[in-house]
Amino acid sequence: MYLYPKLPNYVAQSTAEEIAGLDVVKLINSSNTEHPKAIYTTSGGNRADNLHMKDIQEKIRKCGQKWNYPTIADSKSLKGFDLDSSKILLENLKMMPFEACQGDTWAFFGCILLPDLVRWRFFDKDKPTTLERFTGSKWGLRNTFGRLWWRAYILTDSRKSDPFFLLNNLGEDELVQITERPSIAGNTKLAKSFCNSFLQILSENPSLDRSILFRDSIKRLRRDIPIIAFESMNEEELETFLENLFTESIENIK
Amino acid sequence: MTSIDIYPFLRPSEDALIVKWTVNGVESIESSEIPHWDPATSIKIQANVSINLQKIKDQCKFSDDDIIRISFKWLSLGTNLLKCSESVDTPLETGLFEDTLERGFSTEIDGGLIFDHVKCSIIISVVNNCKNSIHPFIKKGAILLAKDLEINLDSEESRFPVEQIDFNNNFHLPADAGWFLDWNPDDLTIMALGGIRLYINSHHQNIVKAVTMREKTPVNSAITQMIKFDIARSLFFGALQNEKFLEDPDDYEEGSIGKHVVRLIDITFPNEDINGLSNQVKDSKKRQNLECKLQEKLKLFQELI
Repeated sequence: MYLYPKLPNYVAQSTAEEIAGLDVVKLINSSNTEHPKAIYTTSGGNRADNLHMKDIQEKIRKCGQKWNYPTIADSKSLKGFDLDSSKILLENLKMMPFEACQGDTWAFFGCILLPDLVRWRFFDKDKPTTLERFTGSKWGLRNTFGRLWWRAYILTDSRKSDPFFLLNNLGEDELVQITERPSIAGNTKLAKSFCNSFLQILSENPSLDRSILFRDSIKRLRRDIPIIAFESMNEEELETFLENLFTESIENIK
Repeated sequence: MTSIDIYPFLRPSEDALIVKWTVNGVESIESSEIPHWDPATSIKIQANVSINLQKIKDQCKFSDDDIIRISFKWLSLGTNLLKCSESVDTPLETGLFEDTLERGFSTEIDGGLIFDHVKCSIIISVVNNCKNSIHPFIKKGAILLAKDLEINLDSEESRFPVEQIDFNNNFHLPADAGWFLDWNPDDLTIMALGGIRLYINSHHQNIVKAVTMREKTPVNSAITQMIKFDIARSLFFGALQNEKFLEDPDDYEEGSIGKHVVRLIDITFPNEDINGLSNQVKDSKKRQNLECKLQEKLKLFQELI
């Protein structure tokens, strides 16, 4: 595993403020694979070298080009970019959760390595991009790249014929609701089971309102989390539990 | 996460579950700390559990058909990841169980999955839907009782950036050397955690053993003291030959190498002027004396344990 450069918060904040409203092409020129203020975790692996960082930078830019980068992209292209770059980040970064949960790891990606992609992904012609897309909030969940890595880490299932089935089939709002809720996202087995059950129920009941079902069922799940030992359940038990939960939810929203 | 004040079902008293924790071979009560924790290593946790099954059955008014599950889970408060490492089911049918169940659980947590704090728990939950029990709200999986141990991975003791590499595969470094301190004495504005790195030769077993502190022996202690002294000496003499540093030693940001060296000098030679020390470095005879004084100040080999 590699140790990735981190950009201390005070540097990330001021850098993000300076670049948040700049032109994408200008940001390409200011991007870099290193920074004099970057720090590393003291131990736990070897440092990611410049070649590796350059390789990641190129792969993500190439992925962006597939989806219209650096020119303005529509929401379908942005969704395509999110999906493809999630896979690239998970497969190419030799990163463990102990590095990924530190916001300053992702601040380096957002402010130094690929600020152009951040601006392009969250572009608003009238105002600068929100700073948290460049910097690293808690666990990096709002950072442009942190959020994509965590999505892929939580919802990828290597045992399935399509390991990225959930990423491919869930909507942006659903992904956010799963990954930004620590009590669900932290138990990756529960998060995956819940999403699989949700998609299964939807395919069996195509007339159901997708977003209402998702919101109602997630509310029910969160209500149960403090009193139910989901982590102790095997897959079959979990499936049965969730099947009942979705049945109750469908009854409620009908 | 929502905290629960009153559970919608009967729960046994706290003394129905007793857990004795051991972290990396050391007995721990309620909380534990792992100094010099390294994410490349794992944590071994053992939980010896004693459960009063009869008490649980009586207090929760379970029937003979009910089954409980005892699970060992961990949650990292830093990465937010949660895993159940082991669980065992116990039927509560009269005649099928002993009054008290004694069992050991153990797990090894991969250091790469955790950060900051880890909470380990033994949880007793319900396996079935308890159709015959008197409480209608109990669901499959309901938590009856839990006992926790919190492990702090963020030691007060500062850690130094260290990396193990094979010097054989690195043409810059002599194949059989023990360690190499990588830093640039010409630029002290760089952050210490980014600009300094101690490389340990991974095929030099005596050095590896000493720095990983697998065993506390006088030899390991002497080796680590020598490495620490060598680091301090390199930083000390390197900075005192840097003209920019001598011009304005107070002009360094918090966390930079320059700031660390200023602190090192303040601790070792509190009454000496930095330019005076620099003059001693330039004179070879005085430099030898200064090195000797540094040995004394840093207490080299004064205690070997």
